[in-house]
Amino acid sequence: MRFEYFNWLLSVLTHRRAAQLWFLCVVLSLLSILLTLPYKTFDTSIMALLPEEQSTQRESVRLAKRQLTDSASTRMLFLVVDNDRENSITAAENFTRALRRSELFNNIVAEQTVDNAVKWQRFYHDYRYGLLTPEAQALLRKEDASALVSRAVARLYSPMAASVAPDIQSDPLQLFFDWQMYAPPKTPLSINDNWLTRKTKQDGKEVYYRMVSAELTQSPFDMSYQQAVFMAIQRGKDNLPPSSDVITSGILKHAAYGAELAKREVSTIGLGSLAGVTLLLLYVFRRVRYLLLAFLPIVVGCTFAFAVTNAVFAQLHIITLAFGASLVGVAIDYSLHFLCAQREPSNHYCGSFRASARRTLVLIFPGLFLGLVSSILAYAAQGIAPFPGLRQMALFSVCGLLGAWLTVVSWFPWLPFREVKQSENREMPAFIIQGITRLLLRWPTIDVWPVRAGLLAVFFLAVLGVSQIDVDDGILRLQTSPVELLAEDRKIQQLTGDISGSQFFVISGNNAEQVLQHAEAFMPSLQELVEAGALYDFQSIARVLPSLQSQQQNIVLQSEKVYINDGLLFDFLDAIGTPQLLDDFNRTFAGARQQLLTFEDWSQHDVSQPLRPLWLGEIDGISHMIVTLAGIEDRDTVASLATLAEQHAHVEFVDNVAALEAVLTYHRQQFQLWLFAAYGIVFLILSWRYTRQAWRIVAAPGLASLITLAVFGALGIPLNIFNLLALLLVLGIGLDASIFLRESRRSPHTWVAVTLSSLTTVMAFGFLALSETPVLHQFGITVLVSLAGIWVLTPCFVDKPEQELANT
Amino acid sequence: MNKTTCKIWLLALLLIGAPLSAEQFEGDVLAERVQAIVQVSENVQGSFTQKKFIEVLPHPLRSSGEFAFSRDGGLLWKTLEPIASELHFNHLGISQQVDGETLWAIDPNQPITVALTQVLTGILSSNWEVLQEYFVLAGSIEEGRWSVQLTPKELSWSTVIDRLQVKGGGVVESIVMFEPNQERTEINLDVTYADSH
Repeated sequence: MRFEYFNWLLSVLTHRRAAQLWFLCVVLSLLSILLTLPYKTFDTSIMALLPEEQSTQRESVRLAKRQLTDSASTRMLFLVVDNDRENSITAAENFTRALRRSELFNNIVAEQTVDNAVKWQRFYHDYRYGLLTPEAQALLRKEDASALVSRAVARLYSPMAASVAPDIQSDPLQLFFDWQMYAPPKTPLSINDNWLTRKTKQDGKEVYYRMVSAELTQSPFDMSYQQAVFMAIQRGKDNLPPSSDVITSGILKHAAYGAELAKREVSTIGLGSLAGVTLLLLYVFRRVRYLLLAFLPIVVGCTFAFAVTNAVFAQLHIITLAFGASLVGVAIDYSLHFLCAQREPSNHYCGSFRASARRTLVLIFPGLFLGLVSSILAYAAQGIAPFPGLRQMALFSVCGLLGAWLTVVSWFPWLPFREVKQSENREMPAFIIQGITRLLLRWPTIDVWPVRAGLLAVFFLAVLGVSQIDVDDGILRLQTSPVELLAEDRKIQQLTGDISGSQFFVISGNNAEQVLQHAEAFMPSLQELVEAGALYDFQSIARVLPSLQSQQQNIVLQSEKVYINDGLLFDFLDAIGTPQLLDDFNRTFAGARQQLLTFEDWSQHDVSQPLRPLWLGEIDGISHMIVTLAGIEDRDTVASLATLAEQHAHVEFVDNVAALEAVLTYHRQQFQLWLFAAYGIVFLILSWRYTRQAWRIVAAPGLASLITLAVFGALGIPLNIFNLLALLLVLGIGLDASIFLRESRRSPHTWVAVTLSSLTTVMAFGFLALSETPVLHQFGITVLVSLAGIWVLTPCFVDKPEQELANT
Repeated sequence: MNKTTCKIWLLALLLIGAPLSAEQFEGDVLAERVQAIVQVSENVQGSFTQKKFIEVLPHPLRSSGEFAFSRDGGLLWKTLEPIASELHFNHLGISQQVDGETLWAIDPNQPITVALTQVLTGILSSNWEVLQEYFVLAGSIEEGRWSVQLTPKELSWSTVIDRLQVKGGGVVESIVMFEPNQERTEINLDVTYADSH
């Protein structure tokens, strides 16, 4: 770019109007933050970070996912545990009372009443002749169905009769009883002392887990609600016998942890960087005033960024905040360059601050501008992939950098600082400048052949290291929640046989009836997997609501095989010595046989409540329902489930984990290409200004990135998309150093600025590397290693005009 | 009647009544007393006769057979008459075999399975401690003979069992299961072997 353009742009930006306009912008940002922040919620879910739904994904699958997530995120599950039976009951009662008293929950399910079982039985009793287990259906279809009679008679003559045949006239062959045992989803919990209980053995002693579940009345991401819920849980725990404990699972727990983590990370990363930068600046510039100059752009930049992000996104993600905090170390670069350049001897830094500021800006503007462009491009590139969390982070960073930069360029010339006297000119300790000058003079450059050979060797070694690198696109590595919380979730899942939300089936049809028919056709294959032990169980509406077609077939089967003159009913009554009752029993059947259970009747009754979320309803004229799975044994089972879906029309298998991992892999591969492309594009842009020397600018970030990858390869740290994104960032930030050093013709003052800015950036990313959030940690560590490399390598590549150096 | 006469009458009544009525107990005390008479056994064998009274049937359903309980293997209930069938109650649930073929099985987490298995194995092995976990006990003991009424604590069981009446001496002799629909199952046991420990 020609100098005239730079000068024109600078004159526009440093105009009084520009400063006023920017001031207005900042005041508005501040106002909008103050007005909306109290209502803001923080998103911590890993899902928000991961790619948005693929546009190719069908609406039904998207809706299914949302429905499962919604019903999971509004529910909390508690297991009150004690190895004393009485204690566990008291504990569960006290805990439930505390939850009820808090009035923070709806629909608390705790002690069981007999109502549910009775209600269930009563509801289905009227439709009993249409309800048959697949086994009974198969037996009735056989020529010889006498096995049904012998088992019914045998059970009637056993001590089981009371439970199996409570009403001999309405269910003589106990087929309705069998169906009642078959239809409800399997669960490792049983009712014990009127509590849903899981009993396990530990060191030969019985351990009682009493289950309590509750629905949230507000969003699990609402921080004040989280606090209230935690207080209620704590109060509940305070009332327990000392031997009892409560384990909890639910999105809210993770969300609350995430919010807490966000606060902690923002303060460690933010305050850590701030403290480091402050000390560094005080050491180098020795005046508090310069601290103000250095920090003003950051504060303004972050305010602007926060306001824009706040306005664009409904929820702020923890990643944005933590990453935003690390921006301190990057955004300070513009002030640093300004402050260092102001001290250039050629800048005659004395007289009016404003005049000096203008002179300084003219001097550094091309570098400042290119630095901004490269950094903005690098940060904006983070938002290319459809990862909502990253997009937010990219927007925040771009706005933050732009804000900081605008503050330096348009406000600094107008700051009301007093005149600078000649005597104040050398606040920067002389030894720093001298030390840096000496260092720069001695620094090996690529123009000497041994260095060239050395760098070539490093290059080949790095390439060798890179070839060793592994990739890992697993989402488990990205999990934000700590191991203990996840372990607690897993424990609850194991104990309650809870269903998996990440793998399920979506079954479709033209209407409810057809969906149920398709589900019925599919169920036997699933049942086979259950019987083979590959699957614990599955939940399907079709199990508690057979299709009308199937109910009709069941009634026909019974009327042809059981309730006819010489049918199975006669054999049964004959076996128990009362053939004379045949007519009575037949009449009972005739009176009730027309009753069919319709989807509407079922869905409007309370009994359907637990399974209702599985019904997706109509989407574009097609009806859908979900079949969920519990206790998937291993990856092989997942593969067989996928194959099953392929074999059945109207059945789709959704594997969230695999889909997400595939998306991560896809984007990682894309970013590999992007990274190369970015280097190519940057090279082309730089060629415009630096012609054949452009390679010297990109060489340092390029080689440093290679070395970083090689280090990862050597240490066996697998690579994922976030490392690549970080390398893109490295290119953006790393270019600054080369550009400034080149623009200033290796001026020691610039090298001080570059060193300072590298140090502040390293500090920021160093703190980011300490983050407990895996994604941030990966960003931090990648940028940290690369920037250290860049600082060492940059002077090697920037050519050395000996004359000018000698003059300094 | 003056006050003194009243007292005398009362005393007389008590004196007459005392030797006639057996001692009444409840809960822990009853369990302990019964336990003292009949020991917890790890292996019990014997034969049974069962009468199931069903309202709509003109006569009770009679059956007979053998049973064998062992702490590790669970309970085998073997009906020999009128039709041969075997019921196994153990940690795998309940399964039913007719002519060596499994006709029916139910998993161990079904409330019905838990209830029946606990009731039958608890009674047959005379493990009153276990029974007390699931039932409220009340009963009487007289001259080494006892009679205990068991009412389920678990509400979900009360749809199947209203109450149980168990009687015996050194061993369990009879069980009557009263069901909510006015029906009942009477089982008479003849224990031929019971180890004590």
